Amino acid sequence: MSRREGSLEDPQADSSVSPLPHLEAKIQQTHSLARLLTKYAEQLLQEYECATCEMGKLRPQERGGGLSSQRMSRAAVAPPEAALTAASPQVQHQGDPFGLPGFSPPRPPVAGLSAPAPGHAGLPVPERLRLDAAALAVLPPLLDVVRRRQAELNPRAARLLRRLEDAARQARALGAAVEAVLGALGAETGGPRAEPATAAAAAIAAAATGGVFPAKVLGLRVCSLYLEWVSRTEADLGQLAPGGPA
Amino acid sequence: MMDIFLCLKQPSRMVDSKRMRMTSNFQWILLTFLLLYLMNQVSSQKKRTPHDLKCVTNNLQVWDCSWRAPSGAGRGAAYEVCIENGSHSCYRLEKNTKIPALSPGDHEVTINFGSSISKFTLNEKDVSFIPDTPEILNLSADFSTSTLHLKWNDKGSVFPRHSNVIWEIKILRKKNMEIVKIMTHNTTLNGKDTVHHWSWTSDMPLECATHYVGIRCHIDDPKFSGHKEWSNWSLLKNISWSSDSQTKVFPQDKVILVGSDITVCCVTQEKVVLALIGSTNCPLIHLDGENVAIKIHNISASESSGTNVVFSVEDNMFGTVIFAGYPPDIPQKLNCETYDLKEIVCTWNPGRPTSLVGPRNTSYTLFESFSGKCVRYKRAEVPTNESYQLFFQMLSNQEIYNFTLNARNPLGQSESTLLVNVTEKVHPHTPTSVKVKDINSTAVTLSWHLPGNFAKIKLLCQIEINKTNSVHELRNITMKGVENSSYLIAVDKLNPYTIYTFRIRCSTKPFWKWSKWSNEKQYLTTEAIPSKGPDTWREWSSDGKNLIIYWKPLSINEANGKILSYNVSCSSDEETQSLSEILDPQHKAEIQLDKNDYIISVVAKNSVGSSPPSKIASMEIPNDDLKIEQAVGMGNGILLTWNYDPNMTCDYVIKWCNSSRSEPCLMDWKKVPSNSTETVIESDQFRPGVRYNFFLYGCRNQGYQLLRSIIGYVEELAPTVAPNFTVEDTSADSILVRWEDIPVEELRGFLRGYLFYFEKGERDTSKMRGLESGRSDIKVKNITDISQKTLRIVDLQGKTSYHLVLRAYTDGGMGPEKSMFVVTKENSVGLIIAILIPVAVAVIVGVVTSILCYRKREWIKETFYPDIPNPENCKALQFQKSVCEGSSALKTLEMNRCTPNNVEVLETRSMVPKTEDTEIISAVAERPEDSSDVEPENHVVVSYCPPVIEEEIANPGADEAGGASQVIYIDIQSMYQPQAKPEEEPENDPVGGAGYKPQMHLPVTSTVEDLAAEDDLDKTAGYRPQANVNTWNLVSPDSPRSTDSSSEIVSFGSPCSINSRQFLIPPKDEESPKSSGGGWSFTNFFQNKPND
Repeated sequence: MSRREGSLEDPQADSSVSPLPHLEAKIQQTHSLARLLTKYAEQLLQEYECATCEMGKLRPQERGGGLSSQRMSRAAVAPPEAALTAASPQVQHQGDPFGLPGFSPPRPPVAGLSAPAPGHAGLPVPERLRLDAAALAVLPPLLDVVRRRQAELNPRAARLLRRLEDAARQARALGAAVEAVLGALGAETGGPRAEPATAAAAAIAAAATGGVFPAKVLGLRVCSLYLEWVSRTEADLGQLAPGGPA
Repeated sequence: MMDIFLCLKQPSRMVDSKRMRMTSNFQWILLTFLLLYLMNQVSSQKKRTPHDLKCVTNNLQVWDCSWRAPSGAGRGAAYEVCIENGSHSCYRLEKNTKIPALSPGDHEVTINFGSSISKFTLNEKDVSFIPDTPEILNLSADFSTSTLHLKWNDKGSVFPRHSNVIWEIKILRKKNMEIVKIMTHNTTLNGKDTVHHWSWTSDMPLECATHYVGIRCHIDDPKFSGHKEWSNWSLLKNISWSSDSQTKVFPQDKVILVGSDITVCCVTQEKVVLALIGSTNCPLIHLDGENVAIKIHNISASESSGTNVVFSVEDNMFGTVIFAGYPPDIPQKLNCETYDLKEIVCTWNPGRPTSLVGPRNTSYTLFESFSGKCVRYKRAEVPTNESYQLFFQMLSNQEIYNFTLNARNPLGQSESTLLVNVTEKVHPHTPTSVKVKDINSTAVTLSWHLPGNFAKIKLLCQIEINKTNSVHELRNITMKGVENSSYLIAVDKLNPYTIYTFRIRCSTKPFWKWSKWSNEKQYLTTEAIPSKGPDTWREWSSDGKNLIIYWKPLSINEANGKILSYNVSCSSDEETQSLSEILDPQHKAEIQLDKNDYIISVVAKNSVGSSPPSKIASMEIPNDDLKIEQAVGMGNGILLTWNYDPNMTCDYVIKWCNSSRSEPCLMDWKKVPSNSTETVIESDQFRPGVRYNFFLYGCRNQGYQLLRSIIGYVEELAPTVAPNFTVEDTSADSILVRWEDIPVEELRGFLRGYLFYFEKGERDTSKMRGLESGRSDIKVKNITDISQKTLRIVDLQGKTSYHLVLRAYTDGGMGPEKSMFVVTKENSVGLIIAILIPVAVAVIVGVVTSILCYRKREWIKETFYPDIPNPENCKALQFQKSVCEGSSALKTLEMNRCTPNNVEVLETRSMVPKTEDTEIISAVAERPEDSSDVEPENHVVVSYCPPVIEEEIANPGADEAGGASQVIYIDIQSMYQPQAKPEEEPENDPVGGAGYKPQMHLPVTSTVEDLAAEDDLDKTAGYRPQANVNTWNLVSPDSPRSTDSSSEIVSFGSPCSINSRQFLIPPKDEESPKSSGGGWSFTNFFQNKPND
């Protein structure tokens, strides 16, 4: 089912196209932010796994059927910074075999956060946004845990650490923006989500301290989830944006 | 029993040896059987008594002896054992008996069993010492380090004395109990039960497989002389990891030394299909169940995030990370010093990188032993090879510190120590807040801030003083340190009104290190009065009425401030004139003075005051003996020298100006001390190639006298123009040239001479190229007498164009050239000679001919016009003569040449008949080919023949010869007879050779031949009227022409002769070569001079 179909089936989606200019502007802003963060998330994932690998080789999860080919096409228009990174000397922050072609690390479950469900697109838009906001609320502490662990493993990988820090802050900002959109639409927000977020962070922190290798895998998984959720949010907001398919 | 055995054994050995020697001897075989029989008998005898007594001990205190019971003895049979051990003691025992350990030596043991008695000799040497089997008290494992800990009791209390014990421990692995390792462990028995610990680290994580441990011992009692044997192995104890059925990889996050080996295993219930170390595939080592392991040999240093080891199962993968690195290197270049005597900073270099980061990074601890305090280096990532530093707070009343820096990481530790007296290791901070304040025009105060408490030590500071365009000066200052960090000093010996730049650095005494230089502080000192008056000169104006006073601005060092104005005063005995407040940019003043002697005084003023006056007298001391000299400089200046003159008491002044400027001319002047005899005059205004006048003045009694006048160049250049020259006079063999002087401005150096070049050549054809290349046809005259202004060039050829070139030169080079073309005049003497000689020859020939004719007049008469012709000589009557037979074609009367053989003249008046036999030779047949030697007279043949020209005349081949007939034409103008060259005379000239012929030629030959030869004959033979004057318009080398090569060539005169090589008859063909200057001419003939 395509997004357009999903949105057409959702009666609230039609009503969500607010005639109010400020709502449209808010949706537009949030959508732009989500689009921007999607690019940043791609860069983060690339930096985390293999700073010099091509984007196409970076997606074991995607190759596993996780994401659609849209992601690949988005990767093809990577920003100039990514191109610069690709030209830099070989940097593999996690070491071999991470980033090697054919390497498919496991996808361990992350406490409190799962990947977007296959039926996510079929849900009503407010529900989708609520799920997006919930995931975005859980991601910042997870990203913080990953950053701390990477600071021990790669203390000189300043760019990776900066991107992880930025990602946590940006995920928080995007989550807040989505909550604001939900509020403007009159839909119920998820309310304060500090508790599950803290619990998830505690769980992943415990998992990350179990061993370096699981921590690396878990960090990769968190980065991948961050990309998936930001991308998902971008797509969901695209349904509401004035120029979107809705 | 044992003795018997030994006794029996001895013969047995003997038998064996004999049998070996004589195996072939049958008798010996029989003997052997006999002995065996006997032994069997003895043995059967023994078996009927207790035998094979054996004793062992496990504690060295009690011997446990046993023997074989005699045949027939049942269980429970009682034996009486008696031992002779100093005393006789008997025991009633069953089969085995425990007896106390006997003393060393033989002891007789008697065992009575019923009626049979067995005696044995028992010695300690025959006793075996077999310790009790050890028992493992505890076996534990440290899985994190893969270490097994073993605990057991040595039961030393049972042993009477101290003994060394060797423990042998074996490690077995996996369920099939593969022996991994057998190791020994030495202890000592001390008479007490002691629990021993032993640890072993496995190369394989203990989680990977079950490990079993067993132990036995061997006690080495030095006093026991019996057999010491190993105990039995203890019961095996094992260690296994209780898996929670989750797949795991071991070890986790292990830190190991680079180059070591490590085994990594995967404990799993699934089948492992692949193992990777980084990106390298590894062979699997199968353990129990599905567990596998891989072995990594000689591991290399890891990246910062470690080396990944990954095991792949069907649909998952598991991994671990290994950190291979180095233990910390010994801290290098440990140095502790203080900046401010408040805090000690210790720096060091970590040495070899450990390849370990994060929590595995090296941690440092700085320990001070006297105070017992330590500080720990907080982990921070420092770039490789960058210094680490730690701060240690100084303790009051402690100057000497003993530091130990300990470095530690998971792979080991190292340390470095340093004993330091901090008061000798002071490296002050950079001085700050530098300030400058005036004291006076030559001194300032300098203050700065130096953080730290240096009250107890002395400071050594260095002040760098920089002055513009001057070498920087360093001044060292020692001062007592202060507590408040503020310092102040005075800096003197400065120049007034000068910009100084100060900066400071400090160290302590004793010296350890300089601080960094402070920031620069620029300061302008205050003004002072000018230190001296300006350098002054004076010149009289051109009209001699005004005196112009010049002065130079004072240098910065002399002005001591900004010069605002000048005061000028002229004073004599009678009056004083003053010009005051002449503002600074003006450096000259003009005062109308009479010719009295004045003293001119010039004073410079700045804001502080006036300079001392500079004085100079207005009048000059005359000098009658003055010559103008020349001098050439060195490019940038000119060296002037003079003789020492003791009369000159003040100084010397050299003034100079451009020689082309009008008076009064003054560019600049220079004063040199009176004891000098030379100076180099340099000026930015000097230009090469410009003539300057230098005047050397000597000063005595404050009056200046002109001593020398010099003209010179700082550098000579080549002239820019060529001298103008004209031809004053031209003759046939010479040219007189005159030239003018080159102006000084264009001469650009001292004139050293002229070069005059000349060569033959005309304007269009001759180019004076490569004058200096030594062309031989160019004549050069070097005129070094520069006063010479004319030059006569002689020995030239007449009527010849010459190319003249003149150029001047200086020491700076050759100037440009100027050229001219001149044609010399014609040589008139030669022309006259060329006319007179032919005339004279003609007259002589005429006279000779006349004489001959006169003397032969009768013969001539008879021959050519006799009074009565002789009919015989008439050819008309000689048809049948053989003379005419050769020509069958002659059918008619032909007037052939018929030469009579004899001419008989009948002269009646003659007394004697005169007969002249004259052999008439045909000119055609008998004329020699080379007739060049034939004199003209030879052509006069005394014969008679009708004026008939034979056929040969009409022969075209003779046309050219006909052209060579000796008809003489006279050059109308020159009146010279042309002279043909001998080689150009015709070789065969039947006509010319036929003697005189009148110029009227009567053609008698056939009409056809006549017609064919008519044109040629017109050209070559016979008189030809000189009507065709157009043909005279030819170029002839001796034709006078204009000096202008472009002018029309005018030819005059007429052709001389057809025999002449000159163009008598114009060629039909226009392409025929024209005559050139190189052609032969009469004038050439008479001149006969070389080209030059």
